[in-house]
Amino acid sequence: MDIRLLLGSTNLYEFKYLMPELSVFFGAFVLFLLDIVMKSSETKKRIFLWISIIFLAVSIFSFSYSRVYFKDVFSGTYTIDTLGMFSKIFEIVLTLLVLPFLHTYMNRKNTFYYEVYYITFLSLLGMMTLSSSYNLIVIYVSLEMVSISFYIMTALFRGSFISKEGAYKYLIIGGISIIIALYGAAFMYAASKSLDIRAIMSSYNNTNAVYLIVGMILFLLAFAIKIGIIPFHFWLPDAYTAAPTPITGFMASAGKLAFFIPLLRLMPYVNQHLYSSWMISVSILAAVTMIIGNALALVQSDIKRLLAYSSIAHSGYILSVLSSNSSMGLKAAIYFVFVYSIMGLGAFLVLSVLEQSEVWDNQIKNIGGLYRNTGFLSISFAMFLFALLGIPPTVGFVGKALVFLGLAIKDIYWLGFVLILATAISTGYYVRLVVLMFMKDVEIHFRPKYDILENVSIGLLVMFTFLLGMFPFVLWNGISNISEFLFKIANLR
Amino acid sequence: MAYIGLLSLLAVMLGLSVILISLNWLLGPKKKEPYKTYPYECGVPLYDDTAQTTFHQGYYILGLLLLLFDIEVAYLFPWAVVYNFLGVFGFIEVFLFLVILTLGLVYAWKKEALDWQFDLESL
Repeated sequence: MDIRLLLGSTNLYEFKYLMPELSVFFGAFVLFLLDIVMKSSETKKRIFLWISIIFLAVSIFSFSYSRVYFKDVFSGTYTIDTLGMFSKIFEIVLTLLVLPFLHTYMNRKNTFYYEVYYITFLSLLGMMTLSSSYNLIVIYVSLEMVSISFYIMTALFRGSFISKEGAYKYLIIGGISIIIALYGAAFMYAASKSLDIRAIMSSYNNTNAVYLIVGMILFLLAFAIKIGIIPFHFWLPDAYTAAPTPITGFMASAGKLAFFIPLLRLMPYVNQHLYSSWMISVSILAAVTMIIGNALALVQSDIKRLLAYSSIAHSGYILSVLSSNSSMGLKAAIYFVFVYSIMGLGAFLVLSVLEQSEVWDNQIKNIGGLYRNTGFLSISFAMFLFALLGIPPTVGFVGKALVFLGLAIKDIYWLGFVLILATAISTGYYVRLVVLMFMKDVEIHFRPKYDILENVSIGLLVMFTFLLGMFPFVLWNGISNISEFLFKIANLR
Repeated sequence: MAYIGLLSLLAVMLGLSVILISLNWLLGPKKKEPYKTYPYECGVPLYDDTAQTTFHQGYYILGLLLLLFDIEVAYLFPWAVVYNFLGVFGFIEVFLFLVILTLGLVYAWKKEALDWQFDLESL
């Protein structure tokens, strides 16, 4: 193609739809330049924190600059829609909530790297592009961007051998998953001569059916590795335990949300010809993940590792409802992804505050009598655990009820019963933690310190956990419209 | 039959290399010299007799930087070929590319990746 034609077809005014992404990118660039220019000091650390917060705030406000509900920009490679906007705002807010913890954690643990700020920004940029594209190339590049940032962030624990080991495992298995995604993308492209997922999935005919199904399943498997589906989960507990805890929270919340979005976008386009192969592969993976993930979490003695396995099990819950190819199923999946990112992040952040004291080593026996050491932290930890379990006034209950509804609407009852069984198993370890915290004598005496920003952050997460559980319609109305709209567009093709 | 030329080329290649190597082995003079099997390391005596020891990290970082600027040149060549065609647009693109690479080098410099004079205790 003539280069001048290609350039002429790029409308520069379309950059106004990229304002949030661009401000995150410029934030990363400014932080990088400042890191080169400035000498290390206490003021530099505080300046970095506030500059990141300012750029993230600018990014959130710039959503109001260009308000469109559905638009393909840059020749269809980038899609501006409500699902993308919703998830992007969520990812930015989660990053904002993580940053104060990251600051104090790195300070107290004597592992301060200025790099972590702009690597966080770059991974956030990758998440934002990942959550708003149907194009295979854009998905692939942003997947790489998020993953490489995560490998580096996992290794950023000074002097810790375990951290390097976890990062190395993550690097190797993440690299394999990227290769599988590329392989699947190649099959899909060969089957349909197109790079757009919408065009690929609706190009089904008898001659390319095999290639399309193979490509789709390979693509699904690649994402299964990224979100930690059993039997591809081996990196996840190691990497989550190894990373500095606020970063673990970031990977488990914003990262998981971003990795799920392409699957959520793919799901409405699975038509009746592809449905059986999609349903079988997804539901078997989900059932195995729910049961084994919870059973493995039951035998852990390290709380961080326990939460990592619980994160695997939650990936299973979300994946299970993707097998029901209905608008109700999509609603449930989107809702559960969003609320898991809230409660999972909260649990990890509480742990990161506890970890900052010398005597705490994440063992379950040490959590005994935590209530007498720190009331606020233990109550909010109990809230997050109850939400992860799915006790009624919290968001977890609404999420699980919706998942069950989504499965029931397509008559996949056996997966619903597996879900209930897995939740019953999970009761064992969540309730044990709460019982130890509130009903036992104090094991170790210490007084965790947290500053005002951390206090606000945990308070906000507790508030979300409760309010969105008691008034689910705040989130539900938006999500309902989004998924109806996605299905309507998918059926038009 | 369309590939008969390629096959004959392969046969000639194999035959010629076998002939040359065996002639070398048959006719060449054979002298035992201790320095013949000695690994070459920039003309200085070896630090270690074997290569199976741990290398200093600086080697890897230097190798990485070398690779970076090697690949930069590989990207600059095609641009130079179509320079007239691309015009100002190409110039700006390549300029941005070089700025980003140079910032990478400055970053490595500031983080003391090029600084080899340090005591081993601080590692």
